[in-house]
Amino acid sequence: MRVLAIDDSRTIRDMVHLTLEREGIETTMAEDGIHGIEVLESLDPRPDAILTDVNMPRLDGFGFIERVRLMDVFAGIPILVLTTESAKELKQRARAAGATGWIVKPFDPARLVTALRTVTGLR
Amino acid sequence: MSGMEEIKATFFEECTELLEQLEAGLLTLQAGDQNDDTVDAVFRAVHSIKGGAGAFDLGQLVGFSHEFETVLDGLRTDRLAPTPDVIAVLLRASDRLGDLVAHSRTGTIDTGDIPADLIALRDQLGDASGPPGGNEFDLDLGFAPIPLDLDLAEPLEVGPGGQEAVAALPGEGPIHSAKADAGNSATNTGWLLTFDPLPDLLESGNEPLFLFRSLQVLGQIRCEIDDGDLPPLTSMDAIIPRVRWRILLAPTAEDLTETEIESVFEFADDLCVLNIRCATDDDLRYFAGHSEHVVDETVKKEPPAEPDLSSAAPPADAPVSDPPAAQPVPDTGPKGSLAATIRVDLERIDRLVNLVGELVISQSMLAQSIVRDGLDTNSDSASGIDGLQQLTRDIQDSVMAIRAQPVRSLFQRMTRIVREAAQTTGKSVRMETVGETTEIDKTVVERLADPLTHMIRNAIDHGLESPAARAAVGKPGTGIVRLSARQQSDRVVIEVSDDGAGIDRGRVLARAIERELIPRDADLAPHEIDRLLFLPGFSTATDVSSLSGRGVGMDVVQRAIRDLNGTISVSSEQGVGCTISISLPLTLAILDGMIVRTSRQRMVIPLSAIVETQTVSAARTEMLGPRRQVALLHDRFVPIIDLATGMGFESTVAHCPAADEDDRALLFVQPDDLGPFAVQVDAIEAQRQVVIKGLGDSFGRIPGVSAATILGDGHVALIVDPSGLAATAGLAAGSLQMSQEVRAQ
Repeated sequence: MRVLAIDDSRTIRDMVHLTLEREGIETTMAEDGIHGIEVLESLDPRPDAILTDVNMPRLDGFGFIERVRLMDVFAGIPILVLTTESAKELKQRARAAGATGWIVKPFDPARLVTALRTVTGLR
Repeated sequence: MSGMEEIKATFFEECTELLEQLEAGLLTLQAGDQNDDTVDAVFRAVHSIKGGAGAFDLGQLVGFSHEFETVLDGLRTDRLAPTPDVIAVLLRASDRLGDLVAHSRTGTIDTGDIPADLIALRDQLGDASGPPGGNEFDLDLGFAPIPLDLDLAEPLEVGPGGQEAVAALPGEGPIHSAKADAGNSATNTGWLLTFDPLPDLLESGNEPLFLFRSLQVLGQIRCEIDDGDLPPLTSMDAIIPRVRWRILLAPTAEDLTETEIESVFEFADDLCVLNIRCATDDDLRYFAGHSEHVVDETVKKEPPAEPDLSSAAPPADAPVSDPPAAQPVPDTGPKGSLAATIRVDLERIDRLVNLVGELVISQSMLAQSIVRDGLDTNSDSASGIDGLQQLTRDIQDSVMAIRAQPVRSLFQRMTRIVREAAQTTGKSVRMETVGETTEIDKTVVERLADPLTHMIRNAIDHGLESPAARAAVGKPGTGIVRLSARQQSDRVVIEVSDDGAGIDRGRVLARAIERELIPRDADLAPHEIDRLLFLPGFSTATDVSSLSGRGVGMDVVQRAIRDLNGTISVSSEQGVGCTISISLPLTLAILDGMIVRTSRQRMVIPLSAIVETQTVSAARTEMLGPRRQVALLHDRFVPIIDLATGMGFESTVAHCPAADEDDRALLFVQPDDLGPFAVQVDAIEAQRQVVIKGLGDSFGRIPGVSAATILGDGHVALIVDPSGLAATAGLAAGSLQMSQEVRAQ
């Protein structure tokens, strides 16, 4: 499985990276929404799923999802939102932007991997 | 370091950066630059600290940053106005957050409270219980330590469902025959699911096929598709699901619960109508009769079997149907981490710096041996050496660039000093910074913090007037302390200036005389009076103020700067202000020096100290009294120090008359704290970059010598410290006798 993970916090990036690579999930990281778009477009083959933070400079997670959803080549790519907030309202906003699902930070590594497997159908 | 510890170290590193961003942002707001991006950045900084702190179970840090974040969210959502008072509270809170981070880092107990004024702001927002965005952030629930040690070698135990499912689910072993368990209870026999996707399901990236694969982890599934609503192909929108599924799940585990099944559909729960119930005998019989629809592949690791469901006419899901990762295509894209930066142990870089130093030395030895062997300068070897020299210099520059760091973080640390000093003295101070992107060696940056701190405290305490005094002379009430950095050829100049009253030279002179630092009848030029500030034990304040009297004088600052091979100078204008300027080499490892010979020794004099050179025969020299010889430099006479005598070698003048008089030279040097003087040597050999080698602790501090180097021919040469040389030669900074100018006729 290949995953693009976007977070402006190096700590979270390192944790996500460690968690996923341990499970044999190939992980590419990006620092914010704009960077995420750039990396996404440069990845070949395209990732099987995207994991994104919400609060980020330049382009936040919702903005990022909205942009990806407008790009036909990435149609249907699963995008999970990684967020510290678990409010219903946040889920609605994530859904409105086009998110596939959400993981609440601080994330449980097992749960993160499970969610990625669920949305990608990959083991 | 284990994986988690490394990440924790990263976290604290990041905290330092975030705290800087936080403070920089708040200062921008304080300056009245109200900008949404800035407010967002400030909020994000605290938010990120909270996020990381949560992951490491740093409860106190989480708690505080949470309150802080709540207040900042008020700012972000315009419920709180960024008045100067509010910003002041936030700045204090950011200092407090810095303390907490420091305590968390060292694992020490922080006994401080959350500042009351911050709590007051939070309460004012009427938001005490509701964290940013009105979420359900819960300190107890949200920040339970992550129950997993990432350093374990075993893979994660991962179930197909949510967190709850992890413990309850079996692995991915062969699926039991559900029928063997049949008849015990309905739950054992099977579950019947009906799954009716809403139009947005596919667009959200939720793929039914993948959901069913996850179901397969729970047990054997059989599907039936209801495609009754499927429109004709010509009018079909591929992104809108038009089919419904009925699924019979024969669970692998007998105690599989409905919640665990639901958790598979967690992300799709608002995008579908899902029904889960125990399968009846009729259901079982029905599915048994439709065996062609059975999906009975056991779950395979890799590659995922292409949908057996395809035989049952998959939905119109063309855009999302291809699991793309099945093919092992070589990946050329960036992997794992950001390509932009990597973090490297400082130790490794230092080793590289040392090796480059050795490279410089052996390159220069090679060049000399070519000359010694009498090879033509046009020979291949010689031009090859030239190329090598160029390369060596490039490598050296590149390696030094690795260690280079912008002074930004250092400057930002000073803002806190300014705030504290302003508070203590009751003066109103604004700090301006210029040239924050100027880069300098990391070690230099670290070792500048203390001297800069003292210089800034001095500027505020002694330099700036009280608001009343400022008003009296028509200056704005808020004083300005300006911190600037710029690169000047191979040096970096850092200046601290204030727009205060300037140095009161009368008082400085009186104090110096009173302390017997200078003779009562000393006649000093203004800039020489200013330099008295650097004399040990000098203090201009007649009464010890709360900031001074800490045992640190400008002499200590000067010593710290000199230890960095830097120089310090001061300029002041009465009523306009004072500027203290530090000039530092870009690196501590390499020095541009003049190699000189004296008394059969070779020594290196730092080029930065040399203002001019003359041959002795061409220079105009005079005797001043029986012992002191002086030389004319422009329009003034300056003392001459014989290097050999000054260093304690036998005097070349007395004992080596054979030395070629024509080669003898005077190097006019000007250390920061003294007037210029001339150093007499037997000959100037060459101007060269030398690699600085410390003398080692066993030598202690040798007056007049700052370090040593290895020359091209392999010989060791001492590097001269001009100030120290002047001191040993009796031109002590304290006596200043040498500075008394003798005007040229």
